[in-house]
Amino acid sequence: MSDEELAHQIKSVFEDYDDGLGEQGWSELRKKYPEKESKKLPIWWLTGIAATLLLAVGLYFSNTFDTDKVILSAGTTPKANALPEKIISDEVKGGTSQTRLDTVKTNTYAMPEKSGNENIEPAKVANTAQKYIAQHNAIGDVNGTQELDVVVSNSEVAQTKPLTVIDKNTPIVAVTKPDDKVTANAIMTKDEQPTEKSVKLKLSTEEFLKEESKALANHANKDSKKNGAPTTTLDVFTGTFFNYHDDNEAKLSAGVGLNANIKVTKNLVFSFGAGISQNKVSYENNVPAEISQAMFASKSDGTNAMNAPVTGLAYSVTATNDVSFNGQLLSIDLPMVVKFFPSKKQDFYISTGINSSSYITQKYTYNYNQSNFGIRNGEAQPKRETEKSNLKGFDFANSAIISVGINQNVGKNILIFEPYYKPALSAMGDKNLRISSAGINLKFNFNGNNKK
Amino acid sequence: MPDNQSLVELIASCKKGDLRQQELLYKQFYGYALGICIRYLSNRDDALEAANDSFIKVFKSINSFNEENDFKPWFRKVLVNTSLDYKRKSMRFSEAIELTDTIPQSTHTSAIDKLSAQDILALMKNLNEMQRTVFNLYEIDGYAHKEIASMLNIPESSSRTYLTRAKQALQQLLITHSIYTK
Repeated sequence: MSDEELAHQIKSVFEDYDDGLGEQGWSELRKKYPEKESKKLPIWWLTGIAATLLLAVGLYFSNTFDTDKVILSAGTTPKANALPEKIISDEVKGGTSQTRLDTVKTNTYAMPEKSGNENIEPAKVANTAQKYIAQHNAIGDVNGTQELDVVVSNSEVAQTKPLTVIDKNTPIVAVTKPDDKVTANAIMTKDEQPTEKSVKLKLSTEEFLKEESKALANHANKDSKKNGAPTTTLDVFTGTFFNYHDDNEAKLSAGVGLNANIKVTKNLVFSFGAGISQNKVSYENNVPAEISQAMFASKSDGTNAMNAPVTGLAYSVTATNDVSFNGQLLSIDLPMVVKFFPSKKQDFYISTGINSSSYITQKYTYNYNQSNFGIRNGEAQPKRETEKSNLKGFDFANSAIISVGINQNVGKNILIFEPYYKPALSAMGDKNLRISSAGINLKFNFNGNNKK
Repeated sequence: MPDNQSLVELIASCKKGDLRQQELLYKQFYGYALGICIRYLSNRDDALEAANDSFIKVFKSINSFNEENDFKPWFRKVLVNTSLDYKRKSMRFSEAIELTDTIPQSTHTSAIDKLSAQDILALMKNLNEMQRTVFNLYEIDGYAHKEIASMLNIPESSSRTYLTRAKQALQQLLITHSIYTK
């Protein structure tokens, strides 16, 4: 005996070592393959959602901390350029009156005491101006804005209004002249530098009011300009939603995308964009006829091993039952909507439009039990079939979009919570699935602060 | 076995992830796969598991296979490597049947021709794991000692030694076998 002869014999014997249990072997393999997909959200979905939430929360807190800084500085550092809390006429002599301005002590805001001087009264000068001043001096909502009464010692006021408190110890910062001009002499510490605000104090009341009126007018103009522009803004969004159809279990899905918003009129915005989303649908035993027919049609081709007659048998009779179906579509969505802002504040909108889809991947899985009466006495064998396709199909206006957006300012940008409903208008994908969905979009709008 | 053209078409379908075509490929190469795995592994269940794992590897990586090449040698490599992965845990390099000094004796070719798969498996079970593996790799699957040394992480000289001892053992076993089957 030579080694070659033995090796040749072994080769020939084991070249096609078929123990006739290939069917059983395949069933064993199917327990491991294909691997069952994880029901957890894919990591990139989670990453996208987490990144958006972090961005939103970060910007929100960033905005909050900025405000805190302003309040803090206003509350701790007496400013020479802060507006006077009260202008107090110390005495009125002939045509000349002397006026005191309390420097703002934002950390105390002591109320002036009553005195016997009945000649002077507080006069609330131009509420809007005061508010504007208050805002622009960053006194905030602390006491300063509550008692920002300006006392002007002109004679008309002095004769008709009750007097206010005069504190003789308060420093003189302005003197009124007979022509009611206020000469502001802002008292500052040596190391403090004069600022724009302190210069303003040198203006007369009339001039001051004019200046403030102009400032208000400018502010209003800026606001109106801001409302007019930008005409185009961008949104990035992540969406979490449920797909559902008929009585089947709703499936959680997610998507991300980008939108462009074009302002058409004051209250109307046209929005379009692109996004990627995953849509899932599942049927348990109530598979629609069109889907099951599609499955049987694909099974009936000549290469189908499951329906192929078993070797040695003259015929093969099979029965298929307990069919369940899962569909997964990873799609590129192209939404087009019109947003209507009913309120002047533009803090919410109602939108409606259509969505079209093209498909990056489509995956359809059929699970069923097949009984072959030619073998195993018709014992039911669990079967699973999967069909996949890539970059295939486009469905125009396959769903409508109805949504409501709630705007939340985040710095100069806007965070939008947008609950939406997308009823199916037509079928999606190769299997003509009618998938509706409902969920919420979290959108982040860049440079789109339209709030007044 | 499918002819070359239909095999190319079958592989092309498997590349698309068509489960029905994968099942067809499985059933057509089931015997081939099991025949290789069972030579390396001691029982059918282990061989089937290794064969199935090999098929799964093939299904997952079939896109990297070029249809212009022959499928069987590529698949054989997958089967052998998977079988060796199963064996590695149980392999003991120190394991070696101490063979008594044997003088090669001639056995009739007719006796070899009559060896069935079960006979061969029964004979091989008498070899230790390393001898059996080296014999299979060198004599049946055509690997060189250098490749075997690398695959089994042993010196090349050890591979030669294991092969020699495997052959001696088989000679002895075949003589015994032929005596009993006469």
